[in-house]
Amino acid sequence: MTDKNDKLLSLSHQLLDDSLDDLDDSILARLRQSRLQAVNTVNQKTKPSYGASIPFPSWLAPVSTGATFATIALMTTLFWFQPPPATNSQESLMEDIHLLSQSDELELYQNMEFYLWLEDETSS
Amino acid sequence: MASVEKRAFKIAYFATKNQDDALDIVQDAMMKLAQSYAHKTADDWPPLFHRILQSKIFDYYRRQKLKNQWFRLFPGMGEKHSEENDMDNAEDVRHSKPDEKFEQHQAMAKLEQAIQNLPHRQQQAFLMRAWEGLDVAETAEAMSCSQGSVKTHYSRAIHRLRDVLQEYV
Repeated sequence: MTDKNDKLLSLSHQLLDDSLDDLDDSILARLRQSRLQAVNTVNQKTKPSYGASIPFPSWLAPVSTGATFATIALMTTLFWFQPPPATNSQESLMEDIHLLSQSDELELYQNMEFYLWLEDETSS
Repeated sequence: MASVEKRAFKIAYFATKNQDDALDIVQDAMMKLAQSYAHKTADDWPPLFHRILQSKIFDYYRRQKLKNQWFRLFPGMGEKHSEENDMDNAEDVRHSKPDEKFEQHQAMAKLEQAIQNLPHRQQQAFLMRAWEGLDVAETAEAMSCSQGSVKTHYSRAIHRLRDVLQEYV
């Protein structure tokens, strides 16, 4: 029985293999076209997109995320604890009026920048 | 994929008895394999491909069953279907035309007819085990059934085919 089965299997295998040679060209062309289409799908899937053309190691991903968070935290802290401006606008206005009222000292204040520079130069 | 596509077509053709449907099934199976399993190793592809192929054939049977139910409800819709069957029969006659290798062609025609007439599960088990060379475990995976079922279907298929081809073995 096993011998007969072996013969049957061998004959079947051979006949089926031979039948592949009889396939029409149109069928072979369709099969080839289907295969190429499937392979192209894989290629398109694996091809990197335009934005991803610069290689970026995956192990850097957590580092970059951490750096982003650290930067945001730092900016927030600096903004939050920034000291209030030293001059009050109302005080500044009064000061200006006082300066303008004293015309003799006006020239001194106008040249203040120059005197400060001169002081720096002489001290150095 | 190139090495199995012809055999895949024949397997689908045995199941559907229709050339275009068989080609569509193979195309769908190839696309599915490429889209979902391209990352797998080459050794994994044959059983995966056959699993997908059998799944597509099963889907085809379900669609056909549904279609046939509609044809029974609306008989006029079945005319095209019967034309297709006539075309299939005409093709079978062409395949079995005698020539110088008369005996081989006759055996081939008998085998093809016998395989086509096998119940689907027996057909699957026979073609995957005897032709594709898948082992019992791989065939069971492709057929989504137990290894015991594969052995049973395969054994029954062998008995049937031996009866049909007894004059050649």
